[in-house]
Amino acid sequence: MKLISSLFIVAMVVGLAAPPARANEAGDLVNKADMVYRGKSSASVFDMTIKLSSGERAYKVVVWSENGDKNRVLIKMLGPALWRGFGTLKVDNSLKVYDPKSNHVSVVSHSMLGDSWMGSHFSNDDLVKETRLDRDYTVKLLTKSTRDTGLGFSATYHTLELSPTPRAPVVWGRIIYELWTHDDTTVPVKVSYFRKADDRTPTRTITFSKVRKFDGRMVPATLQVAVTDKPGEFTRIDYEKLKFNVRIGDQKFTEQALKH
Amino acid sequence: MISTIRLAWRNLGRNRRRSVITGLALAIGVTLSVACFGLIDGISASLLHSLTRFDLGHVQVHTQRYQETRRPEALIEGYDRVVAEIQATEGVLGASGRVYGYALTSREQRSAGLEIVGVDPRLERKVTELQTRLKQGRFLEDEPTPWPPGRALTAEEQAQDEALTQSAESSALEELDALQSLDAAVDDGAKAPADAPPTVGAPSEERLAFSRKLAEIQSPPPLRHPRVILGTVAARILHVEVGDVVHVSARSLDGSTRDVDVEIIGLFETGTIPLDRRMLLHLADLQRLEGLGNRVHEVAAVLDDPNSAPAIAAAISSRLHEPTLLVRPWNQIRPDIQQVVDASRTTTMFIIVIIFFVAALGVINTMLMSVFERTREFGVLKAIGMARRRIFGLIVTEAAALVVISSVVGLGLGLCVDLYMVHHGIDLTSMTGGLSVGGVGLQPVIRGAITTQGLLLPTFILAAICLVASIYPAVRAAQLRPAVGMRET
Repeated sequence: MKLISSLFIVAMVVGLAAPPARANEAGDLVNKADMVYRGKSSASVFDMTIKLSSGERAYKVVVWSENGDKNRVLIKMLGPALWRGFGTLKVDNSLKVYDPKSNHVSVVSHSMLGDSWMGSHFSNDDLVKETRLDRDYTVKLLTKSTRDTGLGFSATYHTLELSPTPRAPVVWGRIIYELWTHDDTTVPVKVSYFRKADDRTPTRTITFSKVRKFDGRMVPATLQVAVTDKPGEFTRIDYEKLKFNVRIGDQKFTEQALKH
Repeated sequence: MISTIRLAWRNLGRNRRRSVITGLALAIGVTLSVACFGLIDGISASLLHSLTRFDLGHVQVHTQRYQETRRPEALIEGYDRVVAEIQATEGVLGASGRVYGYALTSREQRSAGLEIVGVDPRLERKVTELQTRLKQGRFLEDEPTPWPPGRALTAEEQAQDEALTQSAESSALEELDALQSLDAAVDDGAKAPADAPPTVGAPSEERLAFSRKLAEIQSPPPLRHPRVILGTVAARILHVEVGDVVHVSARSLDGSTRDVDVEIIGLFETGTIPLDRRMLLHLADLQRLEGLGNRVHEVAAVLDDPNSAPAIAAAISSRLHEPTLLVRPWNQIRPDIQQVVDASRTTTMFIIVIIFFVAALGVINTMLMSVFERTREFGVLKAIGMARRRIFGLIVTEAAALVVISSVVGLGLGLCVDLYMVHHGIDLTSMTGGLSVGGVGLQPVIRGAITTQGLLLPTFILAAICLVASIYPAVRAAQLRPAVGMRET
């Protein structure tokens, strides 16, 4: 009898303790995958291809970002001519855009954060976001399986469901996060964003592919955003170079650098 | 009959003070009611005027999709034909196309997201009265800004452009390669230059200039700043005045932004905040900026009789014969305003009924008093053979005489108040920010309106209520038994 009751207690303690531990782990996974391009700081060069129903265009872009106490981002367009020199600078909560044709810096008001960035399927907010997924959402593990990654090794694939915490200042009602882990590496595979928790089709999806090593890290070289209500349209980013945890001078995040 | 009226008249004169006081109460009731109607009708008219003549027009045409989604690509094709067809419809005074957009506007450190509206000044003048609401400066010019068309790059220029992109890219890559790791900096702490890594391969002036030239070939700037007029609310947000140049970053149809500096040539104020937060520019300029070609989001029409809007909307719809286009009268676009107008009428009716109810009590009181005072008299009249019907008629006639005189006096006074309100209006400018109903600003000076209904309705209601009120005293008098009546002292 005594044995049975102590077993029962043990089972209860384990039963109680296990779910929060797993939840934390799931949150960590999502957070790691979400930070895959970021690190403490990062610098990158990529091509952005925007496919719209009205046509297609591509930008070459360089991005500098710092994700420490201060979140700072500088984006400069390297080409083609129509957009060369356009810049976006985010320091703390202010977002500024620079137009080289008129040599003019405008401050983007908060109400315009949801607007598209340079005609892409990213919003201004996406590019400068500070949302910590594990802080604003409760993460629940849905499925877990081991599969081949196609990179010569197998990894553990996780599908996680994120529901916003009651008062989180977020726009999504539900996020389904697919990722895989292998040793220390966590790589996102696909993220589906649902406007409302009970929506069946996602409002938009981000698909990651072509995982390769950049600066010693396994990172998807390509990510593609698609919006469900505009079929056929997408914005794709192909990374050419990514550097992590690099020292970026303060002067990179000034209006001078934005105009440069 | 004549004798009854004469008798009634004499009876009213017996207690002059009482008759005058009751009559005056009724007259003032009529005056107030007439004035009340005049004011409410005036406010409704002002509301409709603000709504239809500063923005909406009486009938609007959109594509079905624009009405549902407000998507910028939901455009009306064949704009010229649509305007021509509407203008040819009977009862239409004018029709004008508009293009809507949203732009980030800024000047120095201030910026604001504003709605920008492209209008054709020549046509718009016949539709809205915006040009009369200018606080400063002048209205838009009839001619659009001279703006040369762009062309695609030639193969050679394209190659040059690619070379520029490549050189910018290789500079960026070099710069990235030269970056020191955060960890490395810890090792040689003192030595590390904390800031200022050299910027490799900064683009030369010539390269910048050449790049700019390539951009301008594809998208040339206008030959002068496009001229715009700005609502006063927008002007306050941006801290700008007439003559200032403001930077506009507009979203074009392909999703990219187009930047242009515009010159403010006028400020307008309609009193409706959303309208006063707008920037207006020439239709062709905004079509150019948004890359729309000769297409518009909306065509608005103004009619000679606003009440005919639903009928004319239907007529336009059948003329256009375009199932994707939605033609709607103003009261379908803003049913809330129609409801406000209807509700204010109903409220006025209630107030009037209450006023007259009180007045009716006065009439009952007066008539009852005079009946009780004259019990003896009625006893005698009955004893010498006066019919019940005639006594009843006499009392009702007394009440009717009172009502007719008071109505005429009240109507006259009410008309005077109405005329005052029509000619001088009630100035609301002292109220901060003016009044608005359902987001539609009222004009600062509200003018009364004289309508037949507004004059006659209160009068008839008063007459009806007072005559009904006189029935009870009349019945009392008629049913008096002569012997009982004559015994009274």
